[in-house]
Amino acid sequence: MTKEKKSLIKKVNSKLTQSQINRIISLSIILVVVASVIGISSSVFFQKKPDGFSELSLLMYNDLTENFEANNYPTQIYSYENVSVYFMVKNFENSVKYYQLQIKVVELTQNVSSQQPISAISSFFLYPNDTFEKILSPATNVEKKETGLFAGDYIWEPTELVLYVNSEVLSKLTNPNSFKIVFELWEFNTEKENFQYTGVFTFLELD
Amino acid sequence: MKRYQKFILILCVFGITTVLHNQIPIAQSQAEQEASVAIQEADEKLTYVLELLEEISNYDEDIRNLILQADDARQLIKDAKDNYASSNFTISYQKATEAILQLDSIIGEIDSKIQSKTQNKIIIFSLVGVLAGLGAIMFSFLFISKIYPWYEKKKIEEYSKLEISYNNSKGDVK
Repeated sequence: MTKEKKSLIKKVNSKLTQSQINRIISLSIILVVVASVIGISSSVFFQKKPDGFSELSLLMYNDLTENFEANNYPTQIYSYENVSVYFMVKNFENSVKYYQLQIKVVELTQNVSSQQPISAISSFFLYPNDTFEKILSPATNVEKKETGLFAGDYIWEPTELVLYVNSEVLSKLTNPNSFKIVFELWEFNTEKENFQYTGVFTFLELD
Repeated sequence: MKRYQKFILILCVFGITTVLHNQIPIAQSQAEQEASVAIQEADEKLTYVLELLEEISNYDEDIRNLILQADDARQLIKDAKDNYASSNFTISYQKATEAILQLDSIIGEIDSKIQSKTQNKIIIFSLVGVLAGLGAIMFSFLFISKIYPWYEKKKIEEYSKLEISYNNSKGDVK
């Protein structure tokens, strides 16, 4: 068999398989149609939610306006006079959250990070025998746009905290003349079955 | 005889006092254990409720009410723990049991909600599947009846334009 004959057979064979190729093309078109229908329906039914966040605020109560405001924070605290501050938490995450607020006293030079909570070695709890915990619903899209609200299913309403210094507190500090009160927000992790640091914090520097 | 009666009476009083004295710590220890078990159960149920609530995609009014109830149960558990720490085991047990009942009711309501939503999802996905199948069948039908014959016709037309020339000197087809 010459080379030309062989090439002719090849050409004929390729034409014979053309119908099979057509079938494959038709099948692949059908598959593309089905996949696109599934893709569109899944994008409708399984919409990815945007990332949310938790908000922690420290407020002061103004007796004149009878309202809470983020202003006039205390700068000094005395052993004979307690100071009241209010904390508020808002759940702008997209799911239910079980929050815990931890109040720690640290040296003024102590750095506060959103990556790691303050360690037990370098701090101590202001309220060792009390816990501040609350389960909150997530805010709806309408609620996310609202501002200046202090009550709602997604809000941990302003809660009073009496800050104090006594001999016990002062004895734990290297420099008792100035210190920092740190408010850390923690949330319950259902998989690990314990509270985990959210990275959300605020603090007051006091003399 | 009267002397003996007095002696027996004193012995009885002593015996009863001893029994009572021994029974009180046993009862207290039992109450402590019951309270501890109840608190642990309540804690586990609260975690389970949170797991169920996290699975929910749409937090409607009913679910938000359930979250408020879950927070009430959390407060009851906290009260139970506080009372346990103060050695008020009976109150602690009562609070923990109340929390368990409340959490059981929440679990029941969430389960029924999830079940009805799952059924709705099954119906919707079945409809989408059937429609996709129908679409695919219709497209195949259209392809087989219209597009493919047209393509074949065009192909034959193109082939008909080809010319076959024979080279007699060699006997091969070109």
